[in-house]
Amino acid sequence: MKILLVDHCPEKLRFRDSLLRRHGPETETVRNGAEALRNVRKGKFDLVLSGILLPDMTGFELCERIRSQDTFPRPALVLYGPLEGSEEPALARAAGANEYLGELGDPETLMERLETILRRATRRELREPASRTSRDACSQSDAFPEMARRLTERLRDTDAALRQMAERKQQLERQVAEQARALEEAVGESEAFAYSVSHDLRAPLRALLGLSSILVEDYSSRIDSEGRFYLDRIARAAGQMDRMILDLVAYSRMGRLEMEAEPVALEKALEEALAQHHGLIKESHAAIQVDAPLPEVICHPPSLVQVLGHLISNAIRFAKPGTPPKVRVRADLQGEVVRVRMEDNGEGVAPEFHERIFRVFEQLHSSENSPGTGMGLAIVRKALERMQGRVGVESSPGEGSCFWFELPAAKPQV
Amino acid sequence: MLFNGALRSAQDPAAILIAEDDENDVCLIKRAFHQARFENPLRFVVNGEEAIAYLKGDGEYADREMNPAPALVLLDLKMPRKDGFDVLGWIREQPELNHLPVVVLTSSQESCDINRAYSLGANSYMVKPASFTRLVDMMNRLKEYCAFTQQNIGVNWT
Repeated sequence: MKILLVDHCPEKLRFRDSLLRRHGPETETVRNGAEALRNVRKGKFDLVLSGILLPDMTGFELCERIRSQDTFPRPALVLYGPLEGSEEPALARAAGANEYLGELGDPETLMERLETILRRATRRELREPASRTSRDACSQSDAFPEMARRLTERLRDTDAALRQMAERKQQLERQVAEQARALEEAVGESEAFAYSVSHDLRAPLRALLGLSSILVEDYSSRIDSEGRFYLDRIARAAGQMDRMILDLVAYSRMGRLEMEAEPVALEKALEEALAQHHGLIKESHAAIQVDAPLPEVICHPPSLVQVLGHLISNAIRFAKPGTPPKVRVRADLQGEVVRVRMEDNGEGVAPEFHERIFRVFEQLHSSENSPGTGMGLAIVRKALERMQGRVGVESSPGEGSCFWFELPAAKPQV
Repeated sequence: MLFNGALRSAQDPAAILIAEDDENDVCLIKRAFHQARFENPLRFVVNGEEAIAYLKGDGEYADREMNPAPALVLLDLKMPRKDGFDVLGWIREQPELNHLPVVVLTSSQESCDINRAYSLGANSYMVKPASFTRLVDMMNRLKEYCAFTQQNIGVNWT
């Protein structure tokens, strides 16, 4: 189907054009009646869709003039505009339009309506081959069989196109159903995977840790310092792997956890996170400054506590050697979101790593002397994404970091 | 009498039945019990079917001198043949075993497993720790729990 779109407003035209194109038809756009007439003469359009207010004429006039042109094929004409009284549709029909639409609706519905209109118009032409151009048709009677033949062809084409579209629609529906099923399976599989990771993969590690500690306890008199060094390394490696597995499971759980969002006092969540890391804070002599009061946010409370906990422990663990860590927590309302900022005086992060540190198993330090698993920030980002939030960092090496995150505000600014 | 573990008043400490299919875990649990100074006889089975057979006193378990009816069951969840949930469900269906304390000791910390175990009637749920020291801590707490049940529920441990 080939459609000519006529409207004085270029924005509307572009928008409608792009929407309709997505549903199949070929389209051309013009902004006034004169251009529309020129294009119809040249263009072999199946349908003209025009507003009633054009810069140089009304839609009704455009219809009349298209009908008076002896174009072939004769396009179906559809006008749209306000439907205040009942006279517009009547005027439109009198001008030769096939239909007057009070509103265009969504592109899919519109396409369906246009197809119906086009089919009806084509049928009518077959029944009354020269209804409106009877003078011309009669005077050129030898043209009539040719016209009928072409119209029959066109009807056949239209029906075939409609059948094709129906098939395509069914095909798409099947594809969507298949994708949904595949997705469900994938979710099920990833759950089964996380389950077996947490269950089965940890068992041999437990054995490694436990059995090597037995060796140290019971056979220490028979193992020299080098032997103990190796045993210690085995235990540390196993411990590191266990932490990685636990974090991987935590990450996967964060992705599938059901999160009920509710208004949460940031200060309370922060208090809880600080309490959970009490040991680390004390040990490192970290100074945590909170610029209270902090605004309320909408989120899943346990996940927020996790997010804060990861950011606090990162700020402390990546402190500059020899400098006691300082963390300052601030938050402010920015329209519909609350932006929380955690500044530290730590090592800082080079710009090229600002994005990478949020990925799974990424860390800036060699695993040898790194205190983490490289999963903390990935868990943080996953949690925030699931809660309609986002996270980022502003930092340069040696200058400390400012990790920020945003969550929907409980009391947005009006 | 088959189900006399919790009721008998002999001088010997009551037995503890441990259902665990992982050999390494068996080894570590034995040692942890030892370090926590449990004096109770420990009996190990390696799957759910055997656990049920033991509790019933079927076949080789008929000899209650060798295989005394337990006063506590330590249950792994993921085991071949019948799993821990099957055993738990079966135990709670037996009127005689209604009060037998069952403690789940598993590596799963999935909330679905925890909820299911409690709703099937587990008395406690413990996640196997990675470090052996913490396993010993856990056994110490289990000992406190046993003392509590002895005092308050009348389970005879000594």
